[in-house]
Amino acid sequence: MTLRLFWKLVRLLMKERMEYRGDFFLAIAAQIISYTGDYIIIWLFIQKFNHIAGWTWPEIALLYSISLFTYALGAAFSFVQMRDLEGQVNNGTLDALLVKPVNPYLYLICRGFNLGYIAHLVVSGSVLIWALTALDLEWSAMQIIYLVLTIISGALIQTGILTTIGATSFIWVRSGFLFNLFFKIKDFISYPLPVFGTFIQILLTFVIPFAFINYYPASFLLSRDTMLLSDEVMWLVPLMGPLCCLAGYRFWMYGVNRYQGAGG
Amino acid sequence: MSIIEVDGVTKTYRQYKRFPGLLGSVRSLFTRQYVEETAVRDISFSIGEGEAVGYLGPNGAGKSTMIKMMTGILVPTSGSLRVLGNIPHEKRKQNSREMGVVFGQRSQLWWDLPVMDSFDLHKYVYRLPESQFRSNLDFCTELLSMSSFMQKPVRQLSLGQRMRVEIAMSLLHEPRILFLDEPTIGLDVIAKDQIRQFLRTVNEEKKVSIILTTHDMKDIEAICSRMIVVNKGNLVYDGSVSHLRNQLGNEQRVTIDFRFDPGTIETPGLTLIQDNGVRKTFLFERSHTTVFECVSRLAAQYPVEDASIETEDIDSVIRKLYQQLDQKERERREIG
Repeated sequence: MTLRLFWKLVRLLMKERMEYRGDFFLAIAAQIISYTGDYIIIWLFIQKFNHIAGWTWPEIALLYSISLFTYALGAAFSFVQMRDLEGQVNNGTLDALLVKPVNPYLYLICRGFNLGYIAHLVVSGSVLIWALTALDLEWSAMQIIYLVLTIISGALIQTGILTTIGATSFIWVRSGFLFNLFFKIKDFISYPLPVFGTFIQILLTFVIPFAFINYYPASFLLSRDTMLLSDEVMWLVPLMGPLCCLAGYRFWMYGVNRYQGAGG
Repeated sequence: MSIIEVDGVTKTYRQYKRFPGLLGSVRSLFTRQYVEETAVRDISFSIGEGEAVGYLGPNGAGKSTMIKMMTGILVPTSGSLRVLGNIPHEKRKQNSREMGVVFGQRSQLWWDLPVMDSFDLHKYVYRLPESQFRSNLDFCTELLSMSSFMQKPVRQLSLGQRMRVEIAMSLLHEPRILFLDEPTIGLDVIAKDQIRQFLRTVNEEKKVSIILTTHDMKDIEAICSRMIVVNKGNLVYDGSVSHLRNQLGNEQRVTIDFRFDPGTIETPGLTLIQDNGVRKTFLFERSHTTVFECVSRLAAQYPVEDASIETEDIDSVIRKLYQQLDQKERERREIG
């Protein structure tokens, strides 16, 4: 899988989308309206209570925007690909992937690179920039680097988790319910972690590391203390993404091996 | 030199037991009971460079499983398997550069984009130099007469056109082996014929080894000099097409039109199977006399208007082979 091949795929995917451009732009408009609505709901909520667990509107906007922005990046490379894997295993189209001189995982995620997430990126990117200016933070070079790493890491966490769920279709054949579960749990991180009890906090930190996507990095940038992680550990938070993604990839490859009858 | 070595290969699938009903599905989650199903049983053969081999068998005989093992998609349960000197699933990437694979019913083309785009992507996936890509594409475009639909979206192509595209694509990187899983399924006579001719050319001129599975015996007669027949996972025949025909196809059908009804005819060697008065059909079984001798003897005795001799077609030869196998199995069971 080379960068040249990836760009070729992106060009073809764009051309493919433009075959049905009306449908494409309509879908993007719908997504923009839907996510703007989500922001409005949270905003109204805060208008009533002034803050959620001590977090003000721009802070919550930052938190939610990191979650949505990294989801869009990660899901563009993994959500539809992994959701449809079940079908590919059943009807045998996965086989065609295995007779190409490319890494099957990388080819699969790039072949399915989803341009539809541009809507999520536009909405969450704009709010993110607004929130950062509204918060009037003092920016050092380190903090800017930290923010960039946070976004990369968050996208990798989302990809890693989606990949892990997708890989279960090699084992259980059906994996749809796990995707529903993913979105339900992901809803939790629209709000600061202290809103929830200890159990959920531990769950989202040590079991399924959703809190590493936005809550911990945002707390660090906003100089807020967290219950479970100390300040020094905060610098290590962006490592969670690569770790998660690697684990997901390994599990996926294990799944393919099992499908081939080599392992398992 | 052999490019494929299959030695005692067996593939069994595990199927976990499912229990009926809602409670059953919960139970399925926790039990590890399974049935083993053997798709390929202790098969051995070797294929030389440049050979064209038909891999034949009824549905569920394990044809696709064998192709999937040779291409490195599936791993054999036991036995040894080498393709181009490598163990296929271990050197999957390396071998894939030397292999073309066509899965008849599963397209890998970009449905909404012009045919040319799918070819173009292939160039990037296999990292082909422009000159090699061009000359191979031109070769295929001409022989498969594809120029008229190169710029059409794949979704607008007929099945025959799409199959031609798939086959052309599998050859662009100049593979040494071409695997085809039912390449002519569902095609009309003309499309079938064109594909057969093309595959023969590729095999003879480009020296590409071909392994194809099919249900259509005409594919094998037109392309392959050798065939491997499998049934219920077992190899039941491996040899030339003409040899199998000689071995089993020893019957010929003789139809004679008489000028007037000659009544009952007794001729040694010919058995009457259909009597329409002036037209009679006989079955001739190969023996010490030839079918011509029999017919000329008849013609000397009776007023014969016309005579036709039909050799059994290969389909019925194969049918006979399967029937023989079934019978053998039944006998074995009765003894056991």
